[in-house]
Amino acid sequence: MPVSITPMIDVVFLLVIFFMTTAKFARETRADLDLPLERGEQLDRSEEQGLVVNVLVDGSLEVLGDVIDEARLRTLVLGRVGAAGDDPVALTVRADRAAAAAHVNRVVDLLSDLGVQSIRVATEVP
Amino acid sequence: MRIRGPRRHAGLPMAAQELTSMIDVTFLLLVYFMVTSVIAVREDRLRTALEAQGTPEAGDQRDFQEQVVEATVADGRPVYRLGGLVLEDRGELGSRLAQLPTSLGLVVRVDDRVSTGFAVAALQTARDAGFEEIRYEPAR
Repeated sequence: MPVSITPMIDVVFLLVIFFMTTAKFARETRADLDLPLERGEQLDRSEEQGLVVNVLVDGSLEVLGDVIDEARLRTLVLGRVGAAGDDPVALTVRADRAAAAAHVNRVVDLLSDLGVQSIRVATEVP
Repeated sequence: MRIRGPRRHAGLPMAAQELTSMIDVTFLLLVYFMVTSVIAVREDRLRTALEAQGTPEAGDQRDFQEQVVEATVADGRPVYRLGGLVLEDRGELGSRLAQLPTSLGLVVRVDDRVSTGFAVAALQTARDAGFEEIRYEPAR
C-alpha cells in the first residue's frame, strides 16, 4: 500500500515556520551588543525575562527593537509596575560591557524612582 | 491495446522524484533553523536589588549597617574600594569579600566613569563570594 507523505511534509513545514518565528522573536528583544563576560548565577530554573532594556555602548536605550528615550522607558516601566500590582516586576537590563556605567546608572535611577526593587543584569557566559 | 503507465526512473514514479528535491530542501531549512537557535550565545543573569526609595533606612544609617564596595576611578584607573583598601584586581576583591559576613548583604556603588563590564564584575565577584543580597547603587 503506498504511504502518503503529504502529512509529513505539512508537519515539516510547520516546524520550519515555528523555528523561523521563534528565532525572529528572540532577535527582537535582544539587541546585538557585547554583554559583560560573566557566568551569572548558573541557576537551573528558568525565570521570566520580563521587560528587556538594552543599553547600547553609546548610551542609547533599545526596547523590542526600537530606540527609545527615557520618557518612553518610564511609560513602559510604569505600565509593567501597574500590571504587576504587588508582585515584583520582572525586568532585565542588557548593557554593553564597554558602555560607561553612567548610562546604566541613569537607567537604574529611573527604575528606582518608579519603585522597581530588583533587576536582572544580563551576562554572556564565557 | 497496451496502455503505458507513467514513466519510472529506478523504480520510482515521476511525481515522487520531483518531490524528493523539495523534501531535501525542506529538511535542510529545518536543520538550519534548529542549529542556529541552538548556537545562539548563551546568556545568564545576575539578580541585584535596587535602592529602595522613600524608606526610613535610606541614607547614612544604612551605610553604617551594610558593607559597601565601590567601583570607582583612582589615578585614571578603574579600581575597587573596600573600606580603606584600594584593589585593582578582582581576584583580590574576591578574597577580601570572602572574609566578610555574607548575612549583612553588600552594596556595590558604581561610579559613572567606570565601564559596565567592570561594575558587573564586582556583582559577579560578590555573588561568587557567597553574598545573596547584593544591591546596585549609582554613586552620587
